[in-house]
Amino acid sequence: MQPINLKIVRLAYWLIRLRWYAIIGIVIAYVIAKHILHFSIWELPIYFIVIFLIILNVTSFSFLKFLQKSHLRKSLKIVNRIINFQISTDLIVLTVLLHYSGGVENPFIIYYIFHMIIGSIILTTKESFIQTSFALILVGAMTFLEYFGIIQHYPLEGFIITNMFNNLTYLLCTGCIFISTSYFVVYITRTIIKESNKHEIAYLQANLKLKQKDKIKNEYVMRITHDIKGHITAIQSCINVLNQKLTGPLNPQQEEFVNRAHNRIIILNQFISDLLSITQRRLQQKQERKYFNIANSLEAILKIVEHSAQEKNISIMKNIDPSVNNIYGEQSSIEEVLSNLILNAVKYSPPDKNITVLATDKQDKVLVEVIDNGIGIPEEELNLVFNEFYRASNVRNQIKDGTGLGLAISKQIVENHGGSIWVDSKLNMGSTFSLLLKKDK
Amino acid sequence: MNKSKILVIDDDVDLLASTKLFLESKNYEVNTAINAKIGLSVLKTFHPDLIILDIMMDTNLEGYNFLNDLKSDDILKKIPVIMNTSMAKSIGVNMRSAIEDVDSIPKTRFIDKSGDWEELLIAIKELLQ
Repeated sequence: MQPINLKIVRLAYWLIRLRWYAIIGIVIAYVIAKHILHFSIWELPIYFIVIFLIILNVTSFSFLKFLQKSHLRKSLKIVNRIINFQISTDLIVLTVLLHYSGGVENPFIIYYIFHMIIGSIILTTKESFIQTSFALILVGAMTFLEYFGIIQHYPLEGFIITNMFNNLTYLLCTGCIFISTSYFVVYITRTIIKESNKHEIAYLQANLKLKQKDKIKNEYVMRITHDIKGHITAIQSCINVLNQKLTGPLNPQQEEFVNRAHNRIIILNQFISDLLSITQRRLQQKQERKYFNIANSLEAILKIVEHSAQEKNISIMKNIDPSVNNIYGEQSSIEEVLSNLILNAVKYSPPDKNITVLATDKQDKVLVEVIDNGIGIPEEELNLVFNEFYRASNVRNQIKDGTGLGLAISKQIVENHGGSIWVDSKLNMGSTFSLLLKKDK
Repeated sequence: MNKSKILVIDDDVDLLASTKLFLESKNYEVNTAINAKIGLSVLKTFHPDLIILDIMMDTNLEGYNFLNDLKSDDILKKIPVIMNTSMAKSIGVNMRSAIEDVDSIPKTRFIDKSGDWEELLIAIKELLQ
């Protein structure tokens, strides 16, 4: 259902709620009038009306619920008919109620205006004017039938002394004012509602356009990423053909320069990957946050990293607390952080060294530690490694490829989740990267 | 000994050419296709032991759609597939581990498209066992 259509259903429920208030109001008014102010009122019609209204409300409510569940094609038309029917019925009920409690002498006659306002909010302009005219016909009929004595007048004895119901001058003058007020109220209310609707539609359209534009932009970024990396991969591949001498031997100088190109392409590839990752995160909408099993994520990542580790004969030991399971957050982002830390451990460890991955339950938080016996980080640079593009001094010479963005991205993600990430390290001994994440929001 | 046969599907002609050269140097018999449609018609006469498949070609999901086409054919679904993509990082670990499930048919592996073929070679060796 479009939003405007859902609105009609909401208003239908609103109308039913108002009727409950009206029923309570009738009961209170009756009790005060009869038992506190001691007016004379014939109770029987009042009881019938209250019971009738209760039945009407319960039936309408059930029918609405039924329609909502059944998803009928024409349900909106039916809802509209129900609303119109209810409003007309309310007007008849009001007229009958007034007839049995003083007619034109009952000041509650002003409540017709309420019905007209409510009707104007819920109905279309045409329907509003029709219902208003119907109301005026009803009250006019009641007034003049009583005036001509065709039906009995039930005065509110104790409330008013002068008889107004047979005072023609009074009836005609008040009547004209009543009629003009009614139509004017409908006109004003309709104008307000139409303005409000226009704003609502404009807002919804703007919102939709924004979502479409966002989608286009995201697809654009993805396409560019794919295309840039595609070119880089193709270049790297072609250089490898030369590098690996698949087309024949190279003389030493050829080999030297092919190697230079090869190394630069590798760095460029990683750089582009990291750069686009950080850009994509900044441009994209916040991803969905939900509870996910971080122990499973770790297992999956370790399985994927196994190969790179095996190549260097590095074994990864893991100890994941059995009580570590679900945490709240953006699953893919957290997994990216975990991948980054573990892959770093592999990358910056010399062959034959071990890596340990620990996950511990810390009451309302989870602690993940990645411990390696690699090249370590100089003490004065421990804080700096999380800066964008920063590469520690001992690394720059040894391991050429690395962009310095991995840890910066990880820190950004972790802090967005209200967690913390830090490192302890000793040069040439190894590093321990620690990650503390909240379990709940 | 019979050479293992590989079908490589990728819309990048340069990558296709260099990969073919590399794989042939490793003693594989290689056939290529530049899109999924041509890939399917090649499969009518060429019966590879392994397919290397690019994911994003003319359309974003061409690779996945091709994988689904394979799955629905009784003979083709037995051929292991390597999903090659430069968007490997964007594909979360979960989707990866779902597709790489030991029990899934065809047996599939995800690798990050890089110009260096080490990861590819490891994956090929694993899937051809």
